[in-house]
Amino acid sequence: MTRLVSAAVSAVERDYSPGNRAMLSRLIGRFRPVGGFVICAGVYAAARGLGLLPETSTPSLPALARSWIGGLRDLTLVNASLDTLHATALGMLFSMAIGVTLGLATGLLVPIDRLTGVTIEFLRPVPAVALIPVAIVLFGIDIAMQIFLIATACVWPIVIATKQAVRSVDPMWRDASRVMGRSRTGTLLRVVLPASVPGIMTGLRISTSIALVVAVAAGLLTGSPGLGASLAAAQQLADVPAAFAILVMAGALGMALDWGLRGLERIVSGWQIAITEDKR
Amino acid sequence: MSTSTRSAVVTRSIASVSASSGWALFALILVLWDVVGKGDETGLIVPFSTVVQTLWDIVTGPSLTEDVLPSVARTLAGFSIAAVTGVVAGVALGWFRSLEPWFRGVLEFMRAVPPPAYVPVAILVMGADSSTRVIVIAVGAVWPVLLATTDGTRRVEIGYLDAARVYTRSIGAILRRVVLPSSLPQILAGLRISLAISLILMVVSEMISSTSGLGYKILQAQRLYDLPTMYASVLLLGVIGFLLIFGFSRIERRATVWYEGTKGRGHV
Repeated sequence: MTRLVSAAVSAVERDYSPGNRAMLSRLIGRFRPVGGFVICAGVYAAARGLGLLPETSTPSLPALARSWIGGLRDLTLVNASLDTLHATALGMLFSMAIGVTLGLATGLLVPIDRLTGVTIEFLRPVPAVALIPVAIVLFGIDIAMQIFLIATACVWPIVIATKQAVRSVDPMWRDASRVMGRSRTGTLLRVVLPASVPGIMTGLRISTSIALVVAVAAGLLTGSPGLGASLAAAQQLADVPAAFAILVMAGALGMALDWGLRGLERIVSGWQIAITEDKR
Repeated sequence: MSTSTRSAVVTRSIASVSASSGWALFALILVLWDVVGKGDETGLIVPFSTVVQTLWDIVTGPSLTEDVLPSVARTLAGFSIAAVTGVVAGVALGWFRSLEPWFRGVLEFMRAVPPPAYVPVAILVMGADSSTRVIVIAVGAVWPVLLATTDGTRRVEIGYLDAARVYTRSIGAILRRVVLPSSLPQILAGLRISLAISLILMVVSEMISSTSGLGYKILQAQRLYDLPTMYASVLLLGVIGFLLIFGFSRIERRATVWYEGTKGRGHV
């Protein structure tokens, strides 16, 4: 261990010659995000040590780490995350199916847009968490209830994103496809739909974060399995380190989902990035 | 001439018919809800007219000052704290560019935490009173504004800054007169997300260890199986959410007319 540290130190000393300064700053650059976390952890520990934060109701960093690693080891945190992921995935599947269909219909056919516009505008701002009691009455506290809530909450961003994506497809592409002899359906399936995939992906990313919010809130309030339920249990037991560990886990899950979707976005809409950003 | 006028009239009447058809469908759904509710014998679906009646009783009764208005006040208080903190911190982080790479990761992480998860933790740390709920709304809602303001500040056109520097050396004036106005569209987009989160957090925080508020009322009605009150409170919450977001959109549109103008979109 000490050999490793001294080797690293001597490497840094060697590199810190004017010629290698750029490399060193690149090295620092690589670790800046981690540095931010370290600084924030330091500020937290200092605030706790100075009595700015109540010591009894905030965990020390080692206690937090112990609780988090313990939760990963005995799989309680892992299983809770998997339950939340399960509900999120199924809920998203439903909202994608309904949302993309409705978005295509309203985007392509103006009468349908006019017909459904008012209803959608009224339903959209209803906070999905307000529907939790309604969902309990209808579905009980199974995972089906979470799926229902997630689907209702997430369908609107997907509808709006799909509608806008379909409308902003370059008309030239559509005309070109028709001129080259493709049928209307063929144009829809082979031109309009692929061209709106990037827009739909944006909607998917927005609604995934909403899905996580709804899943956690539903678990929190009803004990339906997932991170929310674990959090409610930790609160009732006044197990402070566990509550913070679940919070960290929820954040990690949120970031992992976002990263995954960004990766997926690069894969399925890389062509769009290529045609817009490379030109700049 | 006459044919074109006639076709214009026809087009316009078709347009007006289909515009009103949206309202017609909405009304139809409500009527259907009422009819199904009246025919329903399990009592699970409460007719729309009963729900509206209960809603009216809530709004005119003592519950207005005990539950509804405090909820709205907490939402707005938490949202305002989040807005001010987010804009100030966001401008600072965007202005001092070298800070941003350090804290970007932390901020993205804090935003990735589903906001309802902050509620039980905050109650553990600060106890279950009204100020905790306001703080939790602020904590959950601050990240979108903060990140949006940071991005907006970083993207201010360098020409604007150079032009401003010709006239003044005061950083305060540059921030106030140039940076803030030109990042306003991004800030408002962030605030919009924050407002939606504030509403969600208001409901969730009032459903946990609470004794008053709209969220409490909804949960209590569900536990007592008082379905008309439950549906009416959910509807009321929907109306409040609609009004807040609608009001915000109006302000947003007015504040960013110039921006839409520069993008070649119409003056509204």
